Amino acid sequence: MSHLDEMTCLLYLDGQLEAARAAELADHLGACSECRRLLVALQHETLAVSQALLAENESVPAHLLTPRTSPGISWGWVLAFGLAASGVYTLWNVYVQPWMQSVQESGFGGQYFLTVLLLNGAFWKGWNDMLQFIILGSLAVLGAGLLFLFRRNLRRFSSLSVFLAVPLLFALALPPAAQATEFVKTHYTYELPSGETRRSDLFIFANSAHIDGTLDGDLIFFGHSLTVDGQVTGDVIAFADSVRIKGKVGGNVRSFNQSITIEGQVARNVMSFVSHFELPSGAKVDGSATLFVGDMQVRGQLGRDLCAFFGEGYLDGQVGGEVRLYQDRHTHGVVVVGPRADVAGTFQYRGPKAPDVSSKAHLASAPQVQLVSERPAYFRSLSYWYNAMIWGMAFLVGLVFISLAPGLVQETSREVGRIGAPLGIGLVSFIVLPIAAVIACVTVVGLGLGISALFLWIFMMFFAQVFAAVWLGEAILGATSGTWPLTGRLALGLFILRVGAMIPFLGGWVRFLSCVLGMGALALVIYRRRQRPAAPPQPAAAVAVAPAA
Amino acid sequence: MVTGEGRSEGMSGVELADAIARARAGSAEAWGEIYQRYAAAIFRFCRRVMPTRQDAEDATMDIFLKLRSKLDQYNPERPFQAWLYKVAANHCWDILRRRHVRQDLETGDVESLPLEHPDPGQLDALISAQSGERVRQALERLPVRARMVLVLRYYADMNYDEIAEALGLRRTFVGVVLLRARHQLRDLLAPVPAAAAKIASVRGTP
Repeated sequence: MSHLDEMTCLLYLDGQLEAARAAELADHLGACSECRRLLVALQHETLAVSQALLAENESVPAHLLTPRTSPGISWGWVLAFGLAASGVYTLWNVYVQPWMQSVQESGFGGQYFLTVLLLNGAFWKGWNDMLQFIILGSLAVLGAGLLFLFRRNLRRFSSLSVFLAVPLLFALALPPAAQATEFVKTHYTYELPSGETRRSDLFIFANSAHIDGTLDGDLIFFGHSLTVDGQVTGDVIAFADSVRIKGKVGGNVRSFNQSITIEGQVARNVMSFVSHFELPSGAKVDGSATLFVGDMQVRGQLGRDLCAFFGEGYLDGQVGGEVRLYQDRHTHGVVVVGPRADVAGTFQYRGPKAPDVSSKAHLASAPQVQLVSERPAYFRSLSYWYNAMIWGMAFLVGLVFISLAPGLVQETSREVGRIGAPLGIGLVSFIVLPIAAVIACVTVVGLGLGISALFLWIFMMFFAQVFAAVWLGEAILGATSGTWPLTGRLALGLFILRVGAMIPFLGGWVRFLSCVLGMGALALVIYRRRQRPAAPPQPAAAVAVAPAA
Repeated sequence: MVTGEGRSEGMSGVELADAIARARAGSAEAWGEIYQRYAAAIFRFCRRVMPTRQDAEDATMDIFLKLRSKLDQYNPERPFQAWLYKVAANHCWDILRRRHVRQDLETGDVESLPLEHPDPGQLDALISAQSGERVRQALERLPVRARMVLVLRYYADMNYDEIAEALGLRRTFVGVVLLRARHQLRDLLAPVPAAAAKIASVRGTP
């Protein structure tokens, strides 16, 4: 009998041969040392493979060592979600809806202010593009969320193609470049000299700008100061420190400023978010004025309505329509209606104290005054209800974070414990981020980016406390890694932070520090994760390349 | 033959039978006991078979969900661990098969039997030169079917019938698939391909 082949040896070792064949082999093996050696070598191989497979060279993840129980509804969860939901409801009911209602009452013709602002492009045509961007952004977030949920079903090419498709969609969604528009960028002063005429929309990024000539189109200005001595036939939209309009504007004036003075003439409406608004006597706005201002002086002539949300105000001019004044509840500023005031429509006031109306003022009807007190008691920061609501919202945000990125939450909350570094970084990002966002706003490409960064910053300031809360919870209950234990620590930590925030005087600091610490820790962790080298590459193939024989 | 440690982690027969009976009756506590005894072994099984740690974790959780819902189908007269590994193997193989609809899963090449008598000295030298770590790395680089069959045989200690059923092979081919897997492993372990070629000098042609 010749030597046994390997297959037969393996079947023999595994007891897979019929009894007769096995006996035959045993006889052969007794006589043939070569075949016995092969058998032993194969056994060694089996042993090596078994040992390699059975070695406990890797730990078993802790979360796998306890069985997953079917999630029953516990009262804690019901309470937490109930609080969160009613928190959102209260916020809507107490704050958002009345505000929207009062805006609606004040001359926005039955449409919601935000709808007007965003959808109808009332403020700026560019909003429409930005809105599209926001919608696509939220779709992308939704897509990423779904991708995460179904990550097990999506492998390699399918997920890759989805990831490639998302930026593509974004690229398609980016607003197309404005047409018939000129852009001017300078560090110094832009001047449109007297006697000169330009026929286009004009974007100006400059320290200051003087429009002495005629601009036949819209003017959009970003910079320090803007003076219009000449004429603008379209709208004037300004993001500036100070705006002075001495000449004529054929369209609307819309501005975000420190101060605006309209000494000339505006053919349509004025809308301003400013600290100081002035319409001196002799000036004229043919349309209405909608103001969100710190203080206002209206001594000139308004063709239609005046609607103002303000701190302090003087009305001593002529108003062709109605006057609606909404004074900030917390202000101590005065409201004076002077002797030269002449209001053709109704006069309504809502605020903390009755306006001081001169006896010589000419009002078409008796002023309707509605006094409002401070915010409702249950919306004050000391109220338990308010705190439960904030707790609920923060908890909800934290829950989302823990379920999406438990590792990140854990790492960040431990980073909070180092206090020094996160505090420093947190303070820096607290100050720098909004400044960077505002700077981004001043470049036209960055407008969307800047505004979204600002929203993100506000949101981050709120959710950063989640990390501080988890850290607090872990300091009390001990470190953990599972999702539900982490959630428990989050709940406890948030509760402690809320209680801390209710302490008079110190409460503000508790809130501030927890946010700054959380934000700093998050920044550090993200930075470190980006710095961390990728996982070491797989060892090179053990088989060396041999020269061809 | 080395017995898989995966099989030695069980409870005593009576305890286990009792726990299974209670778990079948709906006792979460009994299920917890069973889970805790076998979670590590099943995770390690998945870790050996699946390409990444995350895959292994996911698979472990899914397997236990399946086990719990299928507990009624378990025949108490058969070994419990064998049943566990059978469910685990089916689950992992399903996932792998869905991901690789490729040649390395097909069985065409098993028709040709390698009937060589390799040099025992060379084979022994090759094996004794390896550390456990190197063997593990080589196992990870094997094609999925080769890795799967080695794990089923030498980790889960399945017999040829069980392997045939789990991989959907004809029983007579199990030995061939096993031997091929060993050859592929040797190729990966050999310092130069020529050495492996000497150990299994001719492939597939008798």
